[in-house]
Amino acid sequence: MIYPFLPDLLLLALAFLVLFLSLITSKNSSLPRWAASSGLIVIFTLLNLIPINHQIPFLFSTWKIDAFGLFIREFLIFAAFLGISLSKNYFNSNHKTSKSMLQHPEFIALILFATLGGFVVVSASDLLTLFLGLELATIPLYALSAWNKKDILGSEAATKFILMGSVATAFELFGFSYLYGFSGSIFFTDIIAQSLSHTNSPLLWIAVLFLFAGIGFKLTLFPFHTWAPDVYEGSPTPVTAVLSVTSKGVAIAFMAILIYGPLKQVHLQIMPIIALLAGTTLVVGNLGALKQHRLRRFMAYSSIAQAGYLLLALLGPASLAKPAIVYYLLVYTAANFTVFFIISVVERTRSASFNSLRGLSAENPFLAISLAIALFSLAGIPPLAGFLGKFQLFLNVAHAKYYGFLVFAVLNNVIALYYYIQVLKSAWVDPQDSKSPKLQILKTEKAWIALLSVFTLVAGLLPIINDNIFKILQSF
Amino acid sequence: MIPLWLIPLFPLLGAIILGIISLASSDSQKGAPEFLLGFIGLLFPLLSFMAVLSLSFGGANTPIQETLGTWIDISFLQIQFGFLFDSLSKMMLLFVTGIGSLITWYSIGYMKHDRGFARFFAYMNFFLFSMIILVLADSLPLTFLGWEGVGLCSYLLIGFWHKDSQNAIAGNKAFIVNRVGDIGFLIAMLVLLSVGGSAFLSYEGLNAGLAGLSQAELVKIIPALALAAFFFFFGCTGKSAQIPLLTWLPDAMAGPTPVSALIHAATMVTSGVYLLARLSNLFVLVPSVLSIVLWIGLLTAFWAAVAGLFQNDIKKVLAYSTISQLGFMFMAAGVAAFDVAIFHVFTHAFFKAALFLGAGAVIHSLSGEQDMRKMGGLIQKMPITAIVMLFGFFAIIGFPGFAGFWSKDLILEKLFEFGAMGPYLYAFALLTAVLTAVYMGRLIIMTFFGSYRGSLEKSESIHDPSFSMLVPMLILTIGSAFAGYLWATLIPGANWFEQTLAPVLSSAQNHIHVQSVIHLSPLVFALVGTVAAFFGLFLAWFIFNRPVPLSKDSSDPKGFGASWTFLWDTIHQWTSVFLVKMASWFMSVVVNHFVLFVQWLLVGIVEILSDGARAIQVRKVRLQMGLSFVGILFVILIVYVYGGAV
Repeated sequence: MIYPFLPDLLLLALAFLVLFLSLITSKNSSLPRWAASSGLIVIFTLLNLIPINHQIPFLFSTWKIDAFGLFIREFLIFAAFLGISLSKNYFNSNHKTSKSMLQHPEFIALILFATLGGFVVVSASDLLTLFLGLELATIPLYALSAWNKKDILGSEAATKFILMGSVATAFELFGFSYLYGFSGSIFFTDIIAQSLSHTNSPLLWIAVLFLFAGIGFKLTLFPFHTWAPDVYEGSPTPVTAVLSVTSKGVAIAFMAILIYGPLKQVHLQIMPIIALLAGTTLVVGNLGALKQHRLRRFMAYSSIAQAGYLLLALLGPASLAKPAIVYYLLVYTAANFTVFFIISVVERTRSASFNSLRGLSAENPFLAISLAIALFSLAGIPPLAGFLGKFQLFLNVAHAKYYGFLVFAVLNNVIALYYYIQVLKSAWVDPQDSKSPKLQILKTEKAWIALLSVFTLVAGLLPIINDNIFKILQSF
Repeated sequence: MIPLWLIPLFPLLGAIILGIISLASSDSQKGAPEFLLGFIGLLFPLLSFMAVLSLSFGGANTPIQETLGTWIDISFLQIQFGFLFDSLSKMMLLFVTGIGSLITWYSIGYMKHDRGFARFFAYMNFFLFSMIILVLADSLPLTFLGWEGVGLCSYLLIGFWHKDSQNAIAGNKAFIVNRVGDIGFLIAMLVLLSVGGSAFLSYEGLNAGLAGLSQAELVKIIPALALAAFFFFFGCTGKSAQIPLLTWLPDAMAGPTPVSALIHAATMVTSGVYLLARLSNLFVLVPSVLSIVLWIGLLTAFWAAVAGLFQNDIKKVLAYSTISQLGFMFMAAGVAAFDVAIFHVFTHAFFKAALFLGAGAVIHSLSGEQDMRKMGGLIQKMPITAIVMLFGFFAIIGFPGFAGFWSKDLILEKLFEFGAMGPYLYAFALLTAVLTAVYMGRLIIMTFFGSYRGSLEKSESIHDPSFSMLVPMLILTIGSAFAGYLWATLIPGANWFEQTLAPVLSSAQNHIHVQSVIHLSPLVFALVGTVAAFFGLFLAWFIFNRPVPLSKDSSDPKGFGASWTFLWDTIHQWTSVFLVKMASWFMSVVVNHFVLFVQWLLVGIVEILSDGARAIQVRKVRLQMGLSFVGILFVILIVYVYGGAV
């Protein structure tokens, strides 16, 4: 029997180990990276072995390890692993280009700390832990987005990010304090008990609104999304990838824990707000992406829209919403990282714009096909994994009987398909620009892109992963 | 005990291996060695035939049911992927795999030096796989899988020499006409599904379900059952080339001759009859549909026999005779004599395959000449082929003792005994039998007698085919002579065929019992049938044993371009094809433009909105923050007005 707390402790230790290793090894040593990668694999394995459903007394509160938390942990490890692999090549290149960065071990350690923050969020059973977890998941990202000090755009992005992020934190704390004022306790159980009898209390509703506003910043929901395009575009590509996956995953897990935890008594009343936020986010994200020509800005809008889709899950009951969230996060991670790997290949020699993709199908069919798989998965085209994922998200909407809204969301997907195909048009239809420099693709990148594409295909064709997530989440 | 799934697996493996070889060698000039390919191509059908043989004669006589797993499992539809090996599927499998192996063997010689050698055998193996699935399936959906599979192979093989676009057009036509029939099959399955749920889609479930119905329940669902039966039969008219969907089969002769022998004569086209026999318990409950089957069979047999009289292409005569013989089988099914129908399927497979292979040998030695007007006198140059063809000829016209004699007489006898109408049906069918002898006699006379009218300069080069082609022909010749003795009415005790099929078909056949008006001894039928055959033979001799006028118009397949399918192409042209073309014109001109207009309108609106959405995106942090505050106020307002404290 493995101590259930072990993976979380190991991750904390791993982050410090990486920092420590960077002190004792040479500057360009790859040892810290290897340590981090293998440590993540060990933790991932352990996560599959520990018993589900555990409550461990922890300081004054309890540390909760349930099936949903485990799945989110696994997703976070998956994302961190990919993020570290993606970042590797940004540090290895020579130091003269503006895109290269220094101090890779610290970079890795920060990603690990952010991941740990996600762990804390899904283990929380009181407001304080929840808040601490979310902050731990966010603060490293501020530093990460400013990693490239030579880049003015990067500094601008980081400044914006930290300003907006602080405001968001303020909103959250405000919301939490009202929630505390409403129930007189920071424990979820007490809040549930209190909300059972006082559904209409204005204190509760102020808390809900401010919490939503605060998390709306992190999840890039309209009208709190405005920072995202600038930050995504300005940050280094690996940071953008981590931002769009890890930070979104933590934020949606945070929301799921709130809604199916302390706020579950008022879920029905919150639904219209969720629908409103999701709907407007979908429209703004999709419409905004329509006329973008730079890849990372485009991905920012795409991920804003994806956040809208993820939010749809919260309209359904926990038994349907949680599997949908977990599965969609996995699928989204695979597809998003495929695109970011391709972007990192492209921007090695060219600018990260649609024009750089011209004639990709002739120049490098492998990349063009992988790009098509990833983007079609993001758009939700069968038989790729994204279809199954989106289907389950929509299922939650249908379960809430928001049929008109469902039609609206599906129609939005048509717009999404349009702009995803715009990228593919550049890659497949537009003729090659003979002047642009040749693409250089590394073997490891090739392997990662191939693996992720296969994952996207297989997860869509074989329902094993999806089935397992459903069964485990519904039986525990 | 050999597991059932091995039987279809063998040809599937063959198809995969040969398909890979064909793809891999597609770039090379010469291709893989033909000896090896032929060996692989023949090995797998043969293995499958061995498996069927050992199952048929080695084991117990009880039906074997084997479920491999769940195929479809959704709330309203559960289908098991399983096989059923009972006496009906046994009978079909025996000759499907047996004759399939023989014709594959023959093809090795016939297809020699063809660049598509590997592809051809891959298709043939895949065809056998699909046909075995069709016959061996224990449920309608699985049968449908095979049904579609054989249709696909038929399409691929008709258009095998696709460099000539006429062949490709012929393949298209066969596929499309078959698809029209397939819709009938699908509708019928849906009707059964809505009547009895998933259970009705498996044969055992259907039989048990129909048997378990009380009289009151039965009366309630009879209209639905009749609808299902009618649409199943519609599907059969497509696959088995009956009125109204018969036009594709003559065109299908564009494929290589072994294909015509195997697919378009011996096996695939008879799957309609097989389906009727398989669903006999359903069909006997709805006599109205059975009488449709009977009349379609009668009319098709007659119509095709008449059309056969006017063909100059040797393969096309055989194609019409196939349609006509299929008509005979449907007649038998129409009077609920399903075992007789299957028996005729069985004997027909032998003699029609022999005839086709003989015709193939003739065409082969005449370097591809198919026009009978340019043949003649071949009996001296290729005597063995002539004997093979003559045996097949005697069998098809019902010459006493040959296979067709026994099966056709049985059909005529069953027709006669079918109530008050019987004698008239019998007379009509007998007339068709006379016509059969006439047009087949014409074929034999024009091909083998008289003097050679062809243009080949060295007529010495015309000779019997090589040994590897001859052996399968001779085996089939033996079959067309003696296959009939498995159920010879005149010989007491020689009814093995009837007894074998009885466990599957007898319950259905006993359900319909129409008293015959006049009782006659089987000897009388045999005598009358013999007289009819001889009469037709003499008629043919008197009419056609004279110099043949040379004509210049070609007898190539022309798709929809000619009316030589005897009006039916024209009828299709003016009814369905014209309507579809009208509809497609309407769609492309009116609907399409309307949709385009709506599309442009929507795209315009979305683009404008997109510009609006981008306008929200400001670069200054102050403005971004301000916008967020406005947003929060907005949300609060909405919650205050509508949601929240309700």
